[in-house]
Amino acid sequence: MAGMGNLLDDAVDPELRAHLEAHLATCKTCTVLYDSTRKTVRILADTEVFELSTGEIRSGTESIMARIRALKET
Amino acid sequence: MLEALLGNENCLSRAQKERILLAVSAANQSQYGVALHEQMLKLLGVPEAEIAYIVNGGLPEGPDGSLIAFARKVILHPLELCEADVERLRSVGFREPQIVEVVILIGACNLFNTLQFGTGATPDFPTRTIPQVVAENKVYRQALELRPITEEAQEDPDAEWVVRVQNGDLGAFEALVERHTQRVYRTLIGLLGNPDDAKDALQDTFLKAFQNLSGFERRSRFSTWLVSIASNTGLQRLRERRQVESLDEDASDREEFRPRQIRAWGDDPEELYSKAERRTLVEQAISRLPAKYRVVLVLRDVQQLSTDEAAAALGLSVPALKARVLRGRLMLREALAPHFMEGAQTA
Repeated sequence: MAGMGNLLDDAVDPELRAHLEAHLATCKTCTVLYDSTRKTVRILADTEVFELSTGEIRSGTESIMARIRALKET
Repeated sequence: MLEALLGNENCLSRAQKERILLAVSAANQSQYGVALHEQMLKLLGVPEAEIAYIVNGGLPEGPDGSLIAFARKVILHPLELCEADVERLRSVGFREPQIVEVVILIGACNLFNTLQFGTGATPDFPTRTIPQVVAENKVYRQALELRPITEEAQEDPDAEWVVRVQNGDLGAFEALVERHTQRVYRTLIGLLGNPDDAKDALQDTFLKAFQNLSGFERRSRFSTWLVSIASNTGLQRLRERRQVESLDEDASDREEFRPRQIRAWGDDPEELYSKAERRTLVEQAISRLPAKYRVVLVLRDVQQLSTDEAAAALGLSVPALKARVLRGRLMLREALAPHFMEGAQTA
């Protein structure tokens, strides 16, 4: 499992990669798991989750700066 | 050593010692030292106004003013120190043992300030802005030169803006807020799990960042430092809500996760849904994860922080972070499988 984690992040040395890929070639369960987890990571990166709109960012910034200016005046 | 230095009042009083330590820390630009000794002086009943006055370079009236002037000269102009400076202390009534104690305190404070710079310790209590020191300040400059600066800190796109804020440019801070709101918000959602709490904590995070920016020492990128403030703010909120789910490393980080959904996914599972539907599905699935896995996924896979950056922001070791990222991904995969596996029914 830890090996799969590093494989997903492309952080394995060539020898370990060869070993893991050899296992995946013969193990259907691990292949399904690896493939669907890789797609999960891709979906997570491509889906703009928890995104604030430009308007929300602007109004949030104004609110924060108002508080800071009020603090500086006290 | 501390007990021996500070515990007895045979020579100097505790308040006199703390004033010296405050002045030396301010001269060394040590945020931690100033915050610590300010707290001690407040406990001893010294007024806030006097503390601020000393930090800003002022000398209290009476003999204590001479103590502080001497301590500052040792730190800021050591090559100009001479017998006349010691004689000045004698002239206002200090005895030899007291003068020796002053010198020892200055040396000890220099050591502690240097250690603080080296370890990057940050205070747990409120800090104040320390005015820039005009004269040559060897401890601080040496600390700047010697402390490890990470590779990422050397390429910080926010570096110039941070300097402008530290020089008093509020507009520069506004630009930083706008630039990093999304990042901070996502970090807080990762911890708190709901938008209203995250928006509330967002304000607190930026306020803390503003108040502590004078102490930001560029050992990491500004964005990484900001995310760590957001993490601490979020954790504080979790504690206040009495959600005792800990984010600290524990044995569960080393347990293997056993997936149950082992059906293959299509080549482009995201095509099964519209952008909005996909976003809702994924947000709901992430929100249901335990906070310790949710936050690492948000930092690594949504915000694309490196492993080192995410580990630093959360105060985790790299192996612990990697273990949580893998487990979080497997848990998220399990939650999304009914929607993305081959043959999934899209409603």
